[in-house]
Amino acid sequence: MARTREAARRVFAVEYNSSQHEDRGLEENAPNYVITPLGESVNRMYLIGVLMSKTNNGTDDSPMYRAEIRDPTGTFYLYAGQYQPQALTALAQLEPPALLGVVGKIRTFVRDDGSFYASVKPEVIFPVDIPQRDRWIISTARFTMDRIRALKDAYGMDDPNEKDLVEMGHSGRTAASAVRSIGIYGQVDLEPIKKGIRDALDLVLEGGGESLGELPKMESGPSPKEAEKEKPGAEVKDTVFAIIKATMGNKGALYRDIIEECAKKGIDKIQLEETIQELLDEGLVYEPTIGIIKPV
Amino acid sequence: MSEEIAPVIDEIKEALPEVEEARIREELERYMKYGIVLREAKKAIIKKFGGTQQNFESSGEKKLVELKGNEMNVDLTVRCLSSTERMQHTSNGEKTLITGLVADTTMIRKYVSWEGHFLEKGKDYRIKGAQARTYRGEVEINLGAFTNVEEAEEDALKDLDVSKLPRFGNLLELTLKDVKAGLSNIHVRGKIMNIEKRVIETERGSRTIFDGMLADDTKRIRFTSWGDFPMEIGQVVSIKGAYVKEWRGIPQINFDERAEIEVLEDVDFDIMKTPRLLAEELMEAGASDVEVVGTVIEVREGSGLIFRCPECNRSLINGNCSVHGQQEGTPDLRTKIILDDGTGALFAILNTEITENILGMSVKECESRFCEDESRVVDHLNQKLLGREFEMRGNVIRDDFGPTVLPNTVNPHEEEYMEEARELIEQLEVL
Repeated sequence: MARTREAARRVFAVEYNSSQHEDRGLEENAPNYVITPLGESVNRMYLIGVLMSKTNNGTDDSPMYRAEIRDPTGTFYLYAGQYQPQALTALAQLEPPALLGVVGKIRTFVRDDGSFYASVKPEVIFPVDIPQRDRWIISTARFTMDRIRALKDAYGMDDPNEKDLVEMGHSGRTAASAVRSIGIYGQVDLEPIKKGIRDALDLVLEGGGESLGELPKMESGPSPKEAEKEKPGAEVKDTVFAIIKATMGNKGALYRDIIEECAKKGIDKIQLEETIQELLDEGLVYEPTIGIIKPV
Repeated sequence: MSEEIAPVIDEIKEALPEVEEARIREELERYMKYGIVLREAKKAIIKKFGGTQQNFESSGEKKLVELKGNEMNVDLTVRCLSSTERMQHTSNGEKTLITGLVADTTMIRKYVSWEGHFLEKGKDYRIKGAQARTYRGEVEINLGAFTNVEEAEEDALKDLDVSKLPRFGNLLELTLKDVKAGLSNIHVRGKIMNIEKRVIETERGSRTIFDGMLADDTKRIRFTSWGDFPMEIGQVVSIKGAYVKEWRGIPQINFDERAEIEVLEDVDFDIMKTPRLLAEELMEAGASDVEVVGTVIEVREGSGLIFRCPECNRSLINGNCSVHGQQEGTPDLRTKIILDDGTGALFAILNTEITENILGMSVKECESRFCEDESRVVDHLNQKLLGREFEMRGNVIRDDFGPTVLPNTVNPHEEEYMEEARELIEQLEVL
């Protein structure tokens, strides 16, 4: 069965940045999780904060942006490269300061001295307004306080376990995070996180829900599909399509023959396979039986 | 090359035990000559010789409680609680049928073998390549010709205490929210929201059944009664001995004459409004008529102005229908999004009408304004949706890729939140 999409967890910077542990899946392609001090396991996250700075550490042709996004409790560090096309386009257009929503995956770094850094690999970045930030703060505060509550109850137990925590009224999710936290971090100092939540909620009250007015407009860059079309691919595709038509008999063209003809035109097998897949995806050709390609 | 293909040949042999290895190798090499990758060739060969692909797609190691009843190849670690052997008359003559009960730390289930796998009571086993199937709504384990059964090492199930497991066959009492496909012998209570008589044709002539909707204060679920019980709209009933099937990932309660139905006079449920569920509660089972609240964190490709094939309504790709080829195309609007509430991610498809409402534009207006540049429609959708919270109400279907919301209504979730912030600060002070 396909793996279902990971939830975007709501975590304040103060909690996320003090994470010291990553759970790496044992299977191939298994997702990795940053385990926060309160035990939340994060693979994807949704955060809102102010873009404080951005620097392009790459080149103009292959940019690699590092950006700092501040929430009321601390700073998220973002790294976006060529595999995050939407985030790259957005960062190129947006100038600090700007209030942004970020959906991203975890990114971790362990220094030679063993110190652990958790940052964010953004997937989607978009401008948001104050009310959206406030709602994010409130729901993140709620999730964080649920985790603290479960953890405090767990500290009071001789043998902290999920079953008893659920019986005490905690959700299965927070019960699991409490047990996870104790297993990895032992006893955690909750005060800095509680202070962070307080600062965040105070900001909501101070702001009074006032709107920023006009948000920065963002043009969508080339979507990944369109970007592909700009590659020399379009020409190759025409050539391959022409070859299929030229080599086919009544039942279609033999894959083997297509390979041969394409080789003469300098199209290698990998390129050919990709191109045929594209033609199949676009519905221009189909595969009546394996090994035979036929134009629609 | 031969090193690479050896394991694939083994896999194909497992699916096609009657075909000779040399023949398989020959076939495989032929496909490879055509530049077909191994994985595709494997599929094709199995198909060609009439095997089924599922035969070897392993579901990996599972707990008994995780079985859904459709696993073709699953690994289990269990303790045998009982086994019996008897002769059974089949169309192929007399055969030995072994049945019994097995347990792991999660639950007890029935096992069946026609292939002589007799498990000894009290012993622990590692079972590889078993099949789980659903018989009369109950998941049971089938140990077949390709199943490998070995005694487990001593402490494989050291945490298992059979006396703590619910007894096999005991009624499982559930609220509707916890009703999941594959469960059987359940006890639920709920209010009949509607009920409809239907006559269906079966092999043994026509039969009267009843379809309807059952609701408690956690969820609504469709039910089918295969027995003629006197039930009416508005009654609160207790149903003992039902089993659960699913349709498009949405659980449905089924019961027949063997069930015990009782009308409860002094019980009522607060089912005034549509139950609101968390995304994580929809990961295992879909639902009909529920409300979910979350933030739109992504607008996916395929959203906005699309063109549909006038013959089959499929959306066209570059003016082409995958069935009918080049077409003029009828314009339409739709939106595919990810709605995420922090507990889980839901895929949602917003229909024409809802997309028109979000854009504040009809399909026609949209077409005339943006026909030159359809991607602008997506920019508009992004601006109206990204990072915003919505309440969506409708059905949630479920497939291998997870749950999909098909909302009938979509409303911005814009409740006043200052009071909520103050309450949270108060709670924080005593935390």
